[in-house]
This record gives sequence, C-alpha cells and structure tokens, in this order.
Amino acid sequence: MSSSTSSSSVGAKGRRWQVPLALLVIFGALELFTRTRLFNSSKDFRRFAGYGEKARHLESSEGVRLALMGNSATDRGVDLPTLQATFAASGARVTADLFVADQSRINTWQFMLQKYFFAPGLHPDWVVITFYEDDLQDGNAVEIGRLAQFFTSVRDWPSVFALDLPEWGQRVEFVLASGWATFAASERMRERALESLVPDFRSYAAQANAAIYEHNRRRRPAHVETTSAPAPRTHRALQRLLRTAADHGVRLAFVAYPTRLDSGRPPYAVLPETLQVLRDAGAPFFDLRHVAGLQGEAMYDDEVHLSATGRIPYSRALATALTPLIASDPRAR
Amino acid sequence: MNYNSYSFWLLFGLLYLVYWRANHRWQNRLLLGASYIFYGAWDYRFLFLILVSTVIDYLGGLGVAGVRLPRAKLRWLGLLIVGSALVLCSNVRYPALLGALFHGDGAGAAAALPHRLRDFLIPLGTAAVALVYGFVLPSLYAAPEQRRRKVFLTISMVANLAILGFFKYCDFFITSMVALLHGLGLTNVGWQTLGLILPAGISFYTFQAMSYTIDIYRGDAQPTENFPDFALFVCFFPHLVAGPIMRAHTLLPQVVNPRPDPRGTPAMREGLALVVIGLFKKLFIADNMAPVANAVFFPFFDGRAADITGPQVLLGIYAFAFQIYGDFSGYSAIARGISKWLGFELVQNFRLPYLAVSPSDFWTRWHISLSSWLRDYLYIPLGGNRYGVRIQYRNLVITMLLGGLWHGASFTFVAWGLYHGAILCVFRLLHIPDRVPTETPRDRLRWLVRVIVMFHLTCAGWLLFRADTFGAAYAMATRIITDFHVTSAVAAPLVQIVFYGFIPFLAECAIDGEKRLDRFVTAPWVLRSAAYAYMILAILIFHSGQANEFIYFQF
Repeated sequence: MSSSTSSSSVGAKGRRWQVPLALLVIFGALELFTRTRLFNSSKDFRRFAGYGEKARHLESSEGVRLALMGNSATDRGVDLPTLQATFAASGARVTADLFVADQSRINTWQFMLQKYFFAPGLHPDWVVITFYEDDLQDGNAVEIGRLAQFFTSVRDWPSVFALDLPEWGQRVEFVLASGWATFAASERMRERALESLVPDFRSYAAQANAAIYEHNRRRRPAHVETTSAPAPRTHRALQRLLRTAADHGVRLAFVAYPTRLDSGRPPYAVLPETLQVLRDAGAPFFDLRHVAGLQGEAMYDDEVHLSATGRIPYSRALATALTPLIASDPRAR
Repeated sequence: MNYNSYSFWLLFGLLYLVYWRANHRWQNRLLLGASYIFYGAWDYRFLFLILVSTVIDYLGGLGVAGVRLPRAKLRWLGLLIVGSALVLCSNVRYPALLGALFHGDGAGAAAALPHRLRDFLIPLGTAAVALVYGFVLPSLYAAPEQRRRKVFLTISMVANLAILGFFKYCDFFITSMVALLHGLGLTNVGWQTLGLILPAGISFYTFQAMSYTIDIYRGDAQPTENFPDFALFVCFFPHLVAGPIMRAHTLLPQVVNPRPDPRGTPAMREGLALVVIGLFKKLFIADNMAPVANAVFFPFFDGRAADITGPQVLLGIYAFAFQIYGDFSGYSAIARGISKWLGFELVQNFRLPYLAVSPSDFWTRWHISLSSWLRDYLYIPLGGNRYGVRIQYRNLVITMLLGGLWHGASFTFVAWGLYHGAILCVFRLLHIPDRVPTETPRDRLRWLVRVIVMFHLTCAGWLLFRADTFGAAYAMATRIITDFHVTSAVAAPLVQIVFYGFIPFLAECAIDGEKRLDRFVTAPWVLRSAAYAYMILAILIFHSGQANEFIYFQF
C-alpha cells in the first residue's frame, strides 16, 4: 500500500512539471527564433548589429571622421554621397557615416554614443546629432526593448533608472527586456502580426489614434490650457550626454532639422533653454529649420521625412553648414 | 494599483511569501494591511471613507443582533475613527513633511502640517458624530427589541446610502437641478458642482457592507465582534474595487475561520488558470477592443462622425461589448484566482453572458453578484412577483433603473437600466421562455437565432451605456439604420473583433465560462500547455501599449 501511494505521488509530481516544462520549451524555442531569425528580419535591428563594425571602420578612415546620429529623419534625410561630395568640393576631406535608430531621441542617443564611441580608440572627430521638435527634452517616450537589448548593459542600469525610466513599471520592463529578447521585441512582433493579419492596419490605426487624440484634446478642460502653468521643460538627459561626451573627449554638434511648412505655418520652436544648455557646454548648434529651396510637397514624404528629391538639397545644406567646423580640423587637410 | 500593474504583483508576492507561514490571526492582519495598502494606493484619503463605512456597519450589525460592546472597545473605535480623520483628512502634506523631517528642517515640517481651521473640519465633525453616537447608544440598546433592530438597520442604511449618494450622485444632482431650472426659465441659477472625486469601488463595498447588516436583521448571518475580522470582510483586496459583491454569510465565515491551505491542491491550479484567463481577458481582449470602440464612439460624441457608416458603428458597439466583457469578467476571474491562492472562495460573477437567450437569462450570467443582490435586497422586498403582473413589472423596472443608476451618475445609465427593465417586461409579457432546448438540429438553430437576437438587444443597451450623451447614442443608432452600406473600412475593425473578441469567446465556451474550470485543470497536459502558451503569448505580444484601468473601478 505504501509503495502504491509513493508511486502515485511521484507520478503526480511528475505530471505537475509537464506543463511548466512544456512552456519552458515553447518559450525557449521562441527566444531562439527571436534572436536568430526575427532580429535579422528587422531592418532596424540588423543595422544595430553592424554599428560596432561601422564605428571601428569610421575610426580607421581618413580625413575628418563624422558620425551622424539621429532618428528616421536623419536616416531618410541625409544622402551620404551628396554630403561627402559637398565637403570635397569645399576642399575638406571627410568620411561620414550614419548611426540612426527609428523614433529615437536623446535618451537612446546617450547610450548609442556610449556604446559605439566612448570606448578608447573609437572616437570620431565629430558626432553630429540631428533633432527636431522636443527630441532633446526630457520626458519623451523611450522604446524600452530596443534600449535594453541593443544599447545598454547592466553597468548602465543606474543611469537609465535615474534619468530615462522614472516609472517603476518601465524599469521592470527594462530589466525583463534586457535578458528576454522575445519580450524586448514584443511591440515589433505585434506590429508585424497585425500588419499581416488586419487589412490596411496602418492607416486604420492612424485614423483611430487621430480620433482618440482629437477627443482627448477637446475634453481637456479649457482652464487647464489657459490658467495652469506649463510643465517644466528640463534637459537633464541632454546635460548628461554633453557631460559624458566631454569626459570621453567626444565632440558633439547639434542640427535642428527642417520640417514641412504648409500654408505659412511657422517651424517648430527650438527652446531658449535648449540653446542655453548647448551654449553652456560649448556645443555648436546649426539651425537648418529653414533651408532655401526645401519647401513644397515634392520635397517631403510626410510632415517630417524628406523625399528622395528633398534629401539632396538638405544634404548639401548640411555639409555647407558644417564646413566651417570641419575645415578648422587638421585632419580635413 | 491594478491587477495589470507590476506594483500589485510585487505587493502580492511579498504578502504570499509570509502568508502561509503565519497563523490564521496573523494571516488576517496581513490581509487587512495589504488591503489598506492596495486601496490607499489610489488616494490615501479614501481609507477614511472605507473605515467610516466599516465602523458604521460593524456597530450596526452588533446593534441589530443586540450585542453590546464593552465601553473600552467603543472608546477605542471612537479614537480610531477620529484619529484616522486627523491623519488622513486634515490636509497634512505628507511628501513635504517627510522631506522636511528627512532633512531635519523643523520649519518645513511645521509648514507641512495643517494650520487653518477648515483643515480640521472633517476630524472635528467626525469627533462630534462619534460623541453623539456614543451618547445615544445606551438609549438605542434600551429600546424594545423590534424597534432597536429597525433603528440600527436604518442608521446603517442611511449612513451607507448617504456616503454613496454624496460622493457619487451629489454633482449629478446639482447639474441636473441646474439644467431643470434653466429649462423652466430660471436662468440666473448658477450652482457650482463640488468637483468630488469618486472613491474607487465605493458602490461595491457599500453594497457588501449593507448586505451584512440586512442579513443579520433577517437572521441569515451572525455578527462578528472581532473588528479587524469585520474590517477585512469589508476591504478584502482581491474583490474590493470591482467585485464580485460578496454576502456576509458567504465571505465572513471564510474570514473568521481558519482557511484550508490550497498549496499542492487543485485549488492552486484553478487559481492559476483563473489569473491567467483574467489577465488574458483584460490585456488581450479588453485593452485591444478599447481603441476599436473608441474610434467609433469618440467621433460621434465630438460631432465629427460624418464619414462613419452604419456597419462601422455596429462594429464599434460589438467591440465595446467584448471590451466591457473582457474587462469586467477578467477582473472577476483574477479576483477569484488570487482569492483561491489565499484560501478564499469568491462567487462566480460571469457565465458566458453573450450566450443568453432572454434578458432574465442574461442577468443570471452577467455580473451575477450584483443582479442577485438587487433581486434579494430590492426586487423581492418590493414585492417581487407576489402581487400580480403589474406590480411585478413595476418592480422589475424600479430594480433595473436603480441597477442602472448604481453604475454611474448619468442619465444614460438610468436609460440603460430602464431599457433592461423594459425588455425584461416585454419578454415576460410575450411569455418568451428563458430556456431553449438544444437536442435536435432544429432546436439548436432556434437557440442560435435567440442568442443572436439577445446579443443585439444587449448591444443596444451597451450603446446607451457607452455613449456619453443621448445625442451621440441617437446619432449612432440612426446611422446604423439610415446609412448601412458596407465599405472596405469595415475590414480592419471586423478582423480585430474576430481575432481579439470572438475566437477567445468561442474558446471560453469549452469551460462554460469558468463554471467548468475543472475541464481545463484536468485536461491532458498537452492541451493545457497549448492553452497557457496561447494566452501568455497573446498577453506578451498583443498587450496594448498603454495600461488601462479596469472600467468598473469607476463604479
């Protein structure tokens, strides 16, 4: 009797582990698939994997070594051959390369810079950061999975928690995403799945978001807009970036990017506080919000992104603006 | 603090680490502390309200039963309630106070303390009420038994309904009165609303506390003299803010008596299944259906819906039907699941409501704990179906109208309640049966038609429930009738409703909406693994970007 009890309890114990074990196998397989296949199928993620090599290649290049950092506006706005040809025409020897991440802002650029250019022997001569609107201010959304998987290590956690992810839930997600690629990539997996499952998902989602945004804007009490003080606009992440770059001897320059200006609409404002922070750190700033000949629908794919036609005059304007900075560098000659 | 937040699961994990190591008395203390942390996380001042409600019903229950408390205990209760008012409701600026104390800044600490007379109004008012109550209590006990029982019951009911009415309906009453007076030509009336914050879950715990005193009055439950146990009965955190509404005779014995340890038993696995199912319903179904519904309801409210066609409106209402079901039944499932882990058994609150074939069938499947509460404490005391058809219909309409008003202070909720009262009456008037046989294929077809008809009747109610104004509801209803042409714009919401709502709903039928959870727990491990993998992956990948509060928290 005792033996039958014992064997049945062992059996029950064995059965108890079947489901967790099966789940472990399923999630392990998914993790493997995410790391080996899904990451490779993402344009963004594929690019990140090559940034280390690109940074090393840039460091060993001739002339002034220029790293252009930013988000999709930089990615779709800068035509490297045009940029380099314009530099060459002015007599400056420059090698430039792009280090971009879609929808990234100051918080992500901090760690991209740290990962690729703060190591000894990897310093480019200039890192040019292109921004628009509030990209340099605190409080912007951070793509947590990407930051955790590609641009940070455990050493960065204190800094990330202190400045970039102030909420407890965000921090938990960041820690989970650091070790769990499936979790880190879940947002992109969702987008991919919905795009293939739901007909015309992108335009539907854009319409739905616009309706929800408009409703929330209308329901906001009027007195909130008129009497309450605006939220303070801080630049702690930008100050950290300028400080750490200076500590590592990396020179930074900032460029305000042009956006489409329909029907006489003024361009976005660059805050005086932002400019003050840049001035205090001695970082050059180039205002390219207005570029001659860069208006009209043909120049832009949307409000922000330049078209194939628009990127040529912009790249020329960017090189022209940067030339005085580059020309003073002995490597330019 | 929501079930879909990490902070909740951290709190629960910490609690669980020590919970089963403690004896019964300490288990209850731990649960009471966790419940107050859980509730105070919304706004610590709400704790005072729940304490007031607790003390009122504690004394009310004992008074109805004729149990006298020693004077020392009464004094202690008085001190507790006045002290709570002082600590929680006298405008102490705690962050500033703690900061000043941390930095040894005496002046800063003093500045963070209350210093105006109006800061002390609530503590002083509470002290005055406590003194008066303490003064009249002996004479209340001295009254003849029947009179004493009625007086204590009345005090308890009036106090509970006054708190609920003040916080939930005061501003609604003011705005309605102003609108009425303006309608009558008295345009110089300009009363301001009080701008009260509605304490989370006030309707749920008030109804539960009321049922305690009523049950003792009826002889269906025994009072407890142990105040911490009673406080735990009122504020037991798994179901505190969105139900299920538990009755004293069901929950109180589970609080008062030692509970069985579920670890290593099927209850633990059932709890896990319920928690995962609940999170799946909330994060996968409800949160993803919300934008689909909002994309239709918001433009109608804003008057910017000219390009939305009838089929799109219909899909928006379907999306809301799945959203509210996933949201509310998901909360109930999680509440039941974590209660099982803690050794408690909460009542089932939902059972596939969209498979109902009639309105009364629907109310035996939707928010079962509220509909049974309304039946037992309102419909039956009003006379139920004992005094003829007319009185029965009147009682149905009154019960459903108050049920609608319970959901929120808005005429659209009142209309929703009236609508359900009306369809209940119509079904009874036409003698439409609440059960449909499903033996033959012909029966099953009839059943399916009835289910589809009832689902659409329910959706018509959801239109009133969800639309912020009658104008928006009317515009949406007329759009369905006058502009019903299918365009390619319906494809995206339709696929999402099927993917997020319909397929999981069909899967839920396999366990008869939690009623046959044993089928899931005892299923072959391959099937269970596949089901868990599907739900966890769905939560992981398809959870909506933003964490949404549970809809029923506002009630």
